[in-house]
Amino acid sequence: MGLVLRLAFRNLWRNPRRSALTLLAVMVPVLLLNLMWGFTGAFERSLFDNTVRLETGHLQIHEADYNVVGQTIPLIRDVRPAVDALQNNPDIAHYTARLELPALAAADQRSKGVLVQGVEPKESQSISLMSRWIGDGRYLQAGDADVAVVGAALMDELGLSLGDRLILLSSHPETGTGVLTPTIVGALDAPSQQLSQGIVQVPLADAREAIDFPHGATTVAALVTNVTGPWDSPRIQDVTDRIRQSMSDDFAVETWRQVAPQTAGMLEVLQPINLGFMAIFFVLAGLVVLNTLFLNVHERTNELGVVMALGTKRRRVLAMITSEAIVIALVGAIVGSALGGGLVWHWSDGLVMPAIYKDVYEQIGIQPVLNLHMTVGQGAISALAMLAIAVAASWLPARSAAALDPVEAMRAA
Amino acid sequence: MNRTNDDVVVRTEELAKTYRSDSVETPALRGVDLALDRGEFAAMAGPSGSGKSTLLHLIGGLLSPSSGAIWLNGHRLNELDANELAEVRLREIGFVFQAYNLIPVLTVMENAAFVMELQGISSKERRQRSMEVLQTLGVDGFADRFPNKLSGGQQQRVAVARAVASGPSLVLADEPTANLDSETGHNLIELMRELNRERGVTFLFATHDDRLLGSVDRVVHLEDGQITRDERRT
Repeated sequence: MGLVLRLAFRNLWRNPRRSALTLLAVMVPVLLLNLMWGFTGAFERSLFDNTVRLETGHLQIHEADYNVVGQTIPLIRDVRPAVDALQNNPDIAHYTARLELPALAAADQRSKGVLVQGVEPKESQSISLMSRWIGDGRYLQAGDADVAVVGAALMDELGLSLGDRLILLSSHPETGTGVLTPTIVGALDAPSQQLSQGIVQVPLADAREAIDFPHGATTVAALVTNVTGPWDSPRIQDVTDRIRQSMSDDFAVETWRQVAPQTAGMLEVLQPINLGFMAIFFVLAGLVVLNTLFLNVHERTNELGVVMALGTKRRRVLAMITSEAIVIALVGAIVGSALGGGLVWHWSDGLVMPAIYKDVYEQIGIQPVLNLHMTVGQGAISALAMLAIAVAASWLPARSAAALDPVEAMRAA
Repeated sequence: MNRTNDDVVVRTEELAKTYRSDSVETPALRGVDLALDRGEFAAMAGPSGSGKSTLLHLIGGLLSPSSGAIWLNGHRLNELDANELAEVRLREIGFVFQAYNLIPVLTVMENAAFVMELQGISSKERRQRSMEVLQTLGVDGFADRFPNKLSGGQQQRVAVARAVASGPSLVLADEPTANLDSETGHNLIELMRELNRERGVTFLFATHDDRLLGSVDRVVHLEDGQITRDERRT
């Protein structure tokens, strides 16, 4: 081990309590930052999963110019070209067509405006989480006809039970009015109250029959292969662009970010907040390192004077003090990364959040069980940032040590 | 760089040093001419404030003169920058201080080898040379101990070992026996004398210690920053 490093290690042992506190001040921010990466990753994944697995998929295909505020989603009268673009595409894991119709749901004397979704039961379950929320009864199955699953809150509002018939009066501006009278086979306990009060799902074939368009749909949603979270957005964008290029201008092909801009915006806010907290923690740690090194230099003024008198050059004195900061930062960063990374890894299987905040989770659209997620790159950023801060913090004390006059320094008590 | 006669280790010419603090000027040395030959065992004597330590620090490249010139082994010290002075101190000079000033986090062996380590000498050679000097000074048995486990006399012997192990042209010692009791001081003087005789190490002391003054070959008396007498003994 070189002289400079040996001196750094041994000098840190001279005041173990102070060094331990400094080590703690360096370690804790790295640990916290890793946990914050983990939680942010979990929030991001949860928001992303809820968005893409509930409504958007990773990408969607609509009729061109579909996204006009206040207008019903226009009908794709013949969805087959869109299906053809996704079928046998190696980048597409699953896809499904949906037909969404605004409708009036009625039972006895009560009625309520709802959204009727015509879905392909089997394909839909590959993309959407909706089937997992079945409370009573069952979800739609392949071959079903004249049946529906209905939001549990809507059933309560209309006084309906499993086995009852529901009257659905759809009125799409492009198709006129259609009527469905399905039997309720399942109740959807959707976590969002709004969804639970306003959703009815029926087999796609029934919805098409109601509007008399056998190949009609309003949306085709798809999942891209090898996507684990929002961090894979570039891949989704790439696949979406290629599909868009292969299709005519009659279709709009968009990523989940374009379809759900609020969620995308929320995700973009998370990282800057994380970085803001990180900056505060790291600056505080830097100040502790600065303070410790100034104390070390002050206490060792005489010794530094002797070392310089014996022929040590100023840049070596600078290196001696900086090395102490590097040793502390390195040990702190390694221990902090190991602990933080370990906790993130441990909770990557699921951390159950306190039940008292259930409403909050529902409101912001995340699951009460978080799967912490952090990349190796993020872990490296935490450790390297702490090293950089410690080296920067050591600059002033190191420079003041290197600028000592040996004779004056040797006179110091 | 100008070089002087090979027999002369140090030479000063009209060397003067004035300390300035605010508007107060305190002359410490006034036109000192001194030459020290290789292998000398010499001391500077004089009352406190006579300029002994200032002259020692000037010769050691730790202070810059206000005027005049200093040559050390041919290097004109007052023309060198801080880095070059550090290099000259590292290669040419060994220092012994009154308060021992060993590095507390290094063992006796590491302290003795410290200057050689700065010089980049290999670990094996450092160990061998340090051990030889530590043996000569009778502290080789403490090689793996830290300085705080040694007595004052033992620490000062290690400081002498550090000063001579790298083979400098000149050892400058500022009151090396001042903190030692009579017997320990006497023993240390004998050991330094032995190093001077057997290894040809040149010593220059700044001291009031009569025991030390009694054992050197030359005493340069200073008073009010000037050499008042240069006494050589055969």
